[in-house]
Amino acid sequence: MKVQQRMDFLPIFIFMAFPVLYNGGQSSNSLCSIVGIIVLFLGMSGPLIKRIIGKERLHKKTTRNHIYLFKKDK
Amino acid sequence: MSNIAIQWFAAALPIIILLFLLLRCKWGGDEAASGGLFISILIGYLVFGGEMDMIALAVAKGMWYSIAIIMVVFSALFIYEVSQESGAFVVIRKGVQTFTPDKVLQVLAVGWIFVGFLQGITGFGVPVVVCTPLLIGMGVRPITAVLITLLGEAWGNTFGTLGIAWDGLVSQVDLSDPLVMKRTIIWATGMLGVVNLIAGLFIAGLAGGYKGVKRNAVTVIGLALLQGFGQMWLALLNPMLSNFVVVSISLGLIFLIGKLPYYRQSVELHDPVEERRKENTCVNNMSIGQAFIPYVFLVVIVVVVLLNSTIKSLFGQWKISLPFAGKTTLLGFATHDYVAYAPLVPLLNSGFFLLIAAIISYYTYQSFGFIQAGGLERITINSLNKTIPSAIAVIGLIAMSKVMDETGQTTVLAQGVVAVTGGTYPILSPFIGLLGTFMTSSNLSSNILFSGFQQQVGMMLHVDKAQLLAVQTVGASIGSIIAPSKVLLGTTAAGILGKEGDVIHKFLFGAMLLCGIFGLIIFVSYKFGW
Repeated sequence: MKVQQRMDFLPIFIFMAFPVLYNGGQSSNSLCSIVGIIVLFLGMSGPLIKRIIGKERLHKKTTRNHIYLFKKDK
Repeated sequence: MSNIAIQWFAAALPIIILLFLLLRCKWGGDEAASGGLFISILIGYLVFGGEMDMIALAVAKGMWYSIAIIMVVFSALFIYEVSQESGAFVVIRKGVQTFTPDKVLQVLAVGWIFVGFLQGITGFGVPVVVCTPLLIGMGVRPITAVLITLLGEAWGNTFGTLGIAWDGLVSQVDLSDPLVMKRTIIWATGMLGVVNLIAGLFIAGLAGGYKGVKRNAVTVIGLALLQGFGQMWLALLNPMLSNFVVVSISLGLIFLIGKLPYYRQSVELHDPVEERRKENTCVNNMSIGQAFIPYVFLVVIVVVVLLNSTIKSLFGQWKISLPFAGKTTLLGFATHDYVAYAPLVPLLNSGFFLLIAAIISYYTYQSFGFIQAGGLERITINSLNKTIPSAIAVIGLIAMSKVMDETGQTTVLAQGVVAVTGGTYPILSPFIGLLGTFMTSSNLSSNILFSGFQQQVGMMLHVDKAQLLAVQTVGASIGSIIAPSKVLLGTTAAGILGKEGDVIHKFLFGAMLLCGIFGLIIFVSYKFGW
């Protein structure tokens, strides 16, 4: 839950990416441009990370259920 | 494989990946947009020779352009949350149920006219979410309710939400020639009028069967003609208001029609659900007039600001813009040098009107005692929570379209399609718009992604670009009926999650057929030089 809540703050990075991208582009600074793109993707990555965490949780839950059922059968 | 073929396939890759993520991997728009953007940046850099600074500027332009759209998304959701919090929607539903004993007309009023009205103001799936439960509450089967709302909102996608999708199209292409603009509007509104008429008749059929169509044919045709021609005439004067005005008039008219002696006899639904859902009947003492307060304020604000040239020019004085330097790729694709790129006019943005109407409505409802303690906090948090995924999707998609456009990917893609299809391209053109909405669930995003492409193809083939642009946005509107994310909204609201495939399956053939017919019309018109 804590990790998911932290993900909610990731979009703030989208705001931070804009000035970096703009300055990188205007001043023809490749490094600054790359940093801007990385920061933007970090900001946009929240939904994707949530999906991955959700899948992992589901996988763990399913595995636990399987183990439980297996023990019960035994 | 030749270099040109490699470039073409590389240029198609971001769209293919986006489609794959959306359709095959079932990712949401907010997740898939990042994937599409990433691939477009990679292709732009590796295959098209765009330097990182050029790509960064293209992404920044995409982000800059997204601000105006995100303002509308947030405000549209805010006005919806105010109505929801105050209980206005319950009152509207009860009002609709009592205005006529003819249940088929009730369904037409909610699923066609009220859905159209909400699409005219808010859009972004709000009509589907709001009206699907209303229809189920009236005895319509859940899956039929989803089908009805999707049909009802389709035609308003271009000029609805105060013309945001139309603005998206205009921002991507050159429509500075008034004659081309006029032709584009006439073609687009004409075809959208046909879509609306078909939708109205289908909704009557879904609600009342063949008898329902026969009994309500005159009403549906009359209202569809009024809406179609009304939108055409008004769009030539003011595209932003055209849909909103006609749907508001239609909403008033349907209530008057319900009072006619013809509609005073009880008519049951063709295939009603046996058991009605238990619903919250705990309603405050709000009147139907009070329930429409947010929309009345919106009408007043929009009309006062946009039709008064003094206020309009005063509000239009505050513009925010940034200069953007011109860049060139290693393959020679160049971008312009802008002193003031896409100026943002916050006080004339549709989002501003929506937000002001929502804030005034909130305080009005609060003074009447319709808002409980902590209401503002709940409204703001809900609106923000719903805006963030849409904002991420909008930023990702617009940035992707800008990167593709500025590094030359769209140009190469257009050249390839023209080389393969040649003169038969106009038949395919509506399917491009449909594909865009199917991918993104948004007429606006489809127009942003593909309008530039359609314009370029038009120039290459010497086809009237007005027709291609019109059919782009009409195809995009039709695509909203089968767009997975929008269907998902409907099935969620109807409580039949997992039935998305059934809904899409029911409309897929019809949507493709309609696009094919419009494509043929454009093709014939191109061949005969109409």
